[in-house]
Amino acid sequence: MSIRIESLQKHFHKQMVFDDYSVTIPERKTTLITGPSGCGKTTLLRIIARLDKRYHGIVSNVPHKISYLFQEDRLLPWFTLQQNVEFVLKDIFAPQEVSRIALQMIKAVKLDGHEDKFPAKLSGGMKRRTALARTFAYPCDLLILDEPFKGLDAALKDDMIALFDKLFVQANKTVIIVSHDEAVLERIDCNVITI
Amino acid sequence: MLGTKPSKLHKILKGLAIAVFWIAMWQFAALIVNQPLFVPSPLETVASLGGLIVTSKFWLSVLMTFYRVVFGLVVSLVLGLVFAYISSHFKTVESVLAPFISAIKSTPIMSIIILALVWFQASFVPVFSCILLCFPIFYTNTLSGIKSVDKKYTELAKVYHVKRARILREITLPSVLPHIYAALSICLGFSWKAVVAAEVLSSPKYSMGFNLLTAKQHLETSALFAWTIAIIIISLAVEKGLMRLLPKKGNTL
Repeated sequence: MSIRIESLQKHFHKQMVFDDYSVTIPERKTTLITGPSGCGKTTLLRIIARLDKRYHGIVSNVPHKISYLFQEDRLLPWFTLQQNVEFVLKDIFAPQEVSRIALQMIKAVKLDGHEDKFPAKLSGGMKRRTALARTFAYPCDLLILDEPFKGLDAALKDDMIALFDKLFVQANKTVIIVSHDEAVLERIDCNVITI
Repeated sequence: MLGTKPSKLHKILKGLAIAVFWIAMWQFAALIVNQPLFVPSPLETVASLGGLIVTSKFWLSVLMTFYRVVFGLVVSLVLGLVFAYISSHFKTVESVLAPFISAIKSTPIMSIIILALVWFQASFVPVFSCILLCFPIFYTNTLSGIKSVDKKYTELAKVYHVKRARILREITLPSVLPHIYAALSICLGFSWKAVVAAEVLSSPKYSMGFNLLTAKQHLETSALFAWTIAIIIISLAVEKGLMRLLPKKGNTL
């Protein structure tokens, strides 16, 4: 079922971000949300992911299992790269399966050989790819990506968009993506919503 | 050489030179005063310490004081962690505890010891004093550690439905550990001071504090110095040893 947002009202302090806003996000498709900075794209993602419950309106049909790539990498500094990917899998799979899936995804984002490194030892691009690996590894019914490819060089960005396309877009998964990146719009077959 | 790190040998030599300087100052003071009853010389103190460490009474006293310090530290650590965890979840508990913690922090240690003397038997007074002195430090540090846990990580765990026990073990604990280590480092020093001070006043049979008191009553100043040096050495050894045993996390926060 499509995710439905009806009559959404949300304000920060006294500034209204959404005033009677309604939108439908189709199931099994990729939806790209665009709009100027500060228009409420990330706020909308947080409301859909149930991280922000201080709003008026109706948000319905949001799947239970969500994988969310935040704007920041949010890597746990005391965990290695592999442990960071495994962190979201441990409650779902058996330990051997957790390692297998994590290693497979680390390889897919071209970080094999760096499994035991801590985030402090990784470059900005490597951190982003670790966060992508963690997000992609989780078996979800809804994938939310907030500026997923920022900080990646052109070649790596192409590879990551191709991986995302293969794993989610072509597999007809429900995806919501916020991005200012022209490359995403050019390469991904998606439904565009402008706020 | 400029810009290079001092070698280990250089550090040891520097440490030795500083130690020699202060021993020389002590010797100088002893010579000036020229009254072993007031200031015994380093040599007299070492001779007195040498005489003490060959007796079973010395080691039994050290062991009992050590036991009281460890017992007091462990109890205050456990209480501090438990109450900090409860306070972090229930604001009312934090508010109720706040005046008690502030009062304990401002209470002179001697008041605590004297009150404990009224309430408990002699052997428990040092442990009680240690708990009352260290508990607020463990509690305050742990609570501020829990409060400083980055919300970004708990949000991440929430999105992925990570179990509560894992959030505690894999997010809260690593964030709080540096705060607990800091409290432990402070309390290791405080606990020895509190326990020995309480032992002096409560005089349990086997204790370093009671031996300090006996040396003072018999006007054996060199023994007084020897016991004091023994306390300093053991307290420092325990502190350095324990801090070395704790995991060093170069990758933390």
